[in-house]
Amino acid sequence: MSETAVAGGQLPPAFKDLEPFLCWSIPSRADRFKARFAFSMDDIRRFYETMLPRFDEIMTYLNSKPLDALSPEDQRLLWMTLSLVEISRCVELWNGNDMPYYAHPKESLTIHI
Amino acid sequence: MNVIDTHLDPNLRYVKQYSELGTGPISTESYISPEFFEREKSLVFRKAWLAVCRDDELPNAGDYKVVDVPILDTSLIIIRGRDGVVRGFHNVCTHRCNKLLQSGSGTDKRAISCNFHGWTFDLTGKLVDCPAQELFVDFDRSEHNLVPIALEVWEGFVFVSREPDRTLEQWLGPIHGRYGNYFNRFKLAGYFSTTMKTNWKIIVDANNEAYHAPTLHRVNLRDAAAGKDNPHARFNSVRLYDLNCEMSLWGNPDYRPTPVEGLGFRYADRPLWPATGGVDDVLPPGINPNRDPRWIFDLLVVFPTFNLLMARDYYLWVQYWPISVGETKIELFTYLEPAKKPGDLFAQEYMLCHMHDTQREDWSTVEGTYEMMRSGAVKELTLNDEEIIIRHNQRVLHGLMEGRL
Repeated sequence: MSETAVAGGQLPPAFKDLEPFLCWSIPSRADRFKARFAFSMDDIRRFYETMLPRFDEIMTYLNSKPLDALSPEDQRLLWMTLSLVEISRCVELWNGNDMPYYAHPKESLTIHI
Repeated sequence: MNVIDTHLDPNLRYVKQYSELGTGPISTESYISPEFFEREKSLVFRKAWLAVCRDDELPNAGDYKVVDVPILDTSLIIIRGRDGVVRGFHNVCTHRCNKLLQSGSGTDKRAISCNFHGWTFDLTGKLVDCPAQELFVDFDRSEHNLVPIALEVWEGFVFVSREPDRTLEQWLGPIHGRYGNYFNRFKLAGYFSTTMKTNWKIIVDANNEAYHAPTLHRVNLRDAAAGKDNPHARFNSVRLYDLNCEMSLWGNPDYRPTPVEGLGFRYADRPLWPATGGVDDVLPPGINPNRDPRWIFDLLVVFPTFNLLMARDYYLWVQYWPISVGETKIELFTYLEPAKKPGDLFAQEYMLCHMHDTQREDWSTVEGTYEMMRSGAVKELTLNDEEIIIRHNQRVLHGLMEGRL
């Protein structure tokens, strides 16, 4: 995912400790979907378990900012919360990167927007 | 308020209400026969009104979209003129049939120019430049304008028809004026697509009943669409018209979201998909007409391939594109109110992500169904009361093909 992740970027000061998870700061939904399959379940669980307890703090902070004028640091943090959405079902429902039964192949899905 | 207690009614509701549809099995022939598909193309799709885009995709003069439509054996240019009117043309040069524009969309086109010999058409389709016109014999430039296709706009949806035998308003029937300004609140927020080896009706059928929800969506939706009060996800109501139909889908108020989904519900102004309710005057009377609070969304089916899921705070446009008897493209567009704060985007993201996986569940059956219909081992579909839309769509299909509708 190196081509889409924001390598070496910074997060807002209060969330500096989340910087090891910057690989989850992914701008597009299509690439967040791909990341769900590219990372191991251990990686996914670590990210989930780190983000969830911090979530209210993160969103209270982000919601205090105007959506159309987020700093690059704020934007990276917001993308991390969107990755949390994409991988949440891996942890909460499937115990795996995808549904534990036959579903339409992920390769056949094109996420345009 | 006239709330129909579906779950308390043990009787067969729709096969009684719409007894003309019968109760017998449905032949698989129309799903697998290449000859039938060719007749569908000429007798149904050529005459039908098909939605190709939203008019707000083309806000300014010269904005255009190229739409390839295999089921109409053509490619179309949809373009907004300087007069503000959206028009549709076959994407073909009137000189020697070169395809004028490649797939995609663009803005600010001044004219449509053929890259082969330079024939140039204005935004109304008029041939305005033809290099070395004097070399053509008995040539009247005014007879070589672009070939238009009938185009009408309903609630912002741009429909075309190749050989219309009625207006779009007549095609839509009673639903034409039903939704007020409902669609204006929303903007495109998500769009995904896939192409599957299946007949188009198999996918439409799969998405036009909720009987499958407690089984197929048992993990992703759990008890959102079914619950102890309605274990088989029966509809709140069904409304069938000459060509089209609507369903109101039951929603479980006791649905418990997962932890992250719950954060989405919490940080949205109002919980989104698959939350229940949101019944208030923001909804036009045509949506959830019984104002049942145990409600997820209404599904509108405009025959043959235009489906809308309409809820309080989102709508989905599902468009099916038959390619051949055994190949179909599906496009799903999610429209949401523009986010006002970061928390809105987070809440919306749950719906958007959940939707692509829930759809992958819906699509998981349709290729195997087509494969096994073709085996001929089972030649009939057995339908229950809640699968009434499949009967209705079959009646419309055969009615149009036999000239009865």
